[in-house]
Amino acid sequence: MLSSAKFDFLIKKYKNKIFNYAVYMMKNQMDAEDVTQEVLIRTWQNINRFNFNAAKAWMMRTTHNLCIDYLRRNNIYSKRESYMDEDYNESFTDRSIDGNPHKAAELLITEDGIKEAINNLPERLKSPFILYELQGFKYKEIGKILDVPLNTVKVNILRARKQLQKELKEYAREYFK
Amino acid sequence: MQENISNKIDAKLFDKIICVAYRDGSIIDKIIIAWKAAGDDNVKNLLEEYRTTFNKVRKLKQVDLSDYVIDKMEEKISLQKSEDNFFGNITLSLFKLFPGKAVPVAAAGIVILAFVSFLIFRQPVSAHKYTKTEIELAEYQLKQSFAIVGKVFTKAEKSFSQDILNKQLNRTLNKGYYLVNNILTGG
Repeated sequence: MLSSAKFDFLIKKYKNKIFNYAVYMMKNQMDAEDVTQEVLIRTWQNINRFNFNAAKAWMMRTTHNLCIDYLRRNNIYSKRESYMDEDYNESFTDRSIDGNPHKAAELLITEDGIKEAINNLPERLKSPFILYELQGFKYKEIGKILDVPLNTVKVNILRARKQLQKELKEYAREYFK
Repeated sequence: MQENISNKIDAKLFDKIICVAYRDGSIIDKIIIAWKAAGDDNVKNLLEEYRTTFNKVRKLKQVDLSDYVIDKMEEKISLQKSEDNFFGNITLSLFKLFPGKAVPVAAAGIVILAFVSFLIFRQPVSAHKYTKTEIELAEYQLKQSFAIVGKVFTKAEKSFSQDILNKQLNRTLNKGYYLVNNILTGG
């Protein structure tokens, strides 16, 4: 009974975090749902084995590992295709905007544009960036989840920010070609 | 453009600008960057550029997980759950069988449980009867074991009184007396 209550609480609290992280990693909503389901099942199977306070990190680490495994298994990890779900990513550029560069640049940095730019980041930069900026994890927690030293987390987040800015500028450049 | 700016601004300052733009820098860094941005347009532009991106990133909406994923997952683990809550489920199914009669059902359950447990504990424990030869054998074995224990005790007593008390303890005591004697007589 207690483990059921514990499990329900964890699902309510972390299901969306797990799912969103998986969406960014898998670049595909269907696969992200599969990963999320698998993580929740594993959480249930191990509910009495891990410390309740460490559950958040455990769940996110499992999510990360499952995503990496899945991508490797499907041989898309190395290719890093920038394919995205149609439901998830709609075309974000309207090239017929009245020639105003400011307006165009503003339009380019829409929600979908940023999502795609984040998705184009290399995995080692993307994971800490998503966990820190979007999921609100602390450096220390990210270190535990990704199993990397604290300094590596900080450096990778900084690099991801620079890379993201570069990606967004690339979009702008392409637009004005 | 960014590379040109980066050439003019050193790497450390550039990192600090990014950290401050992402609201991640220390108070001192914030003051330094604000002061530099007031006097340098490159710093100011860079700061604004990164801050805009940061604000957009923070505004990204989180996608909600569909309920059917949870339903599917719950289906998969329902077997395990039902095994865990076996007794709870029996009670629950009883209540489901007789909706609206929760109190009488619970009372009947308690009465049945009490009756069954009374029947179980009421049965007397049958006393085992030993034969004469079994009793004699047990007595003999008991005597033997007492004899072994007695032997061990006498051996231990002997060695204690003879070896430890007489030889080892007496020798050290004698030495002590001899030394005291020597000191007192001044020998």
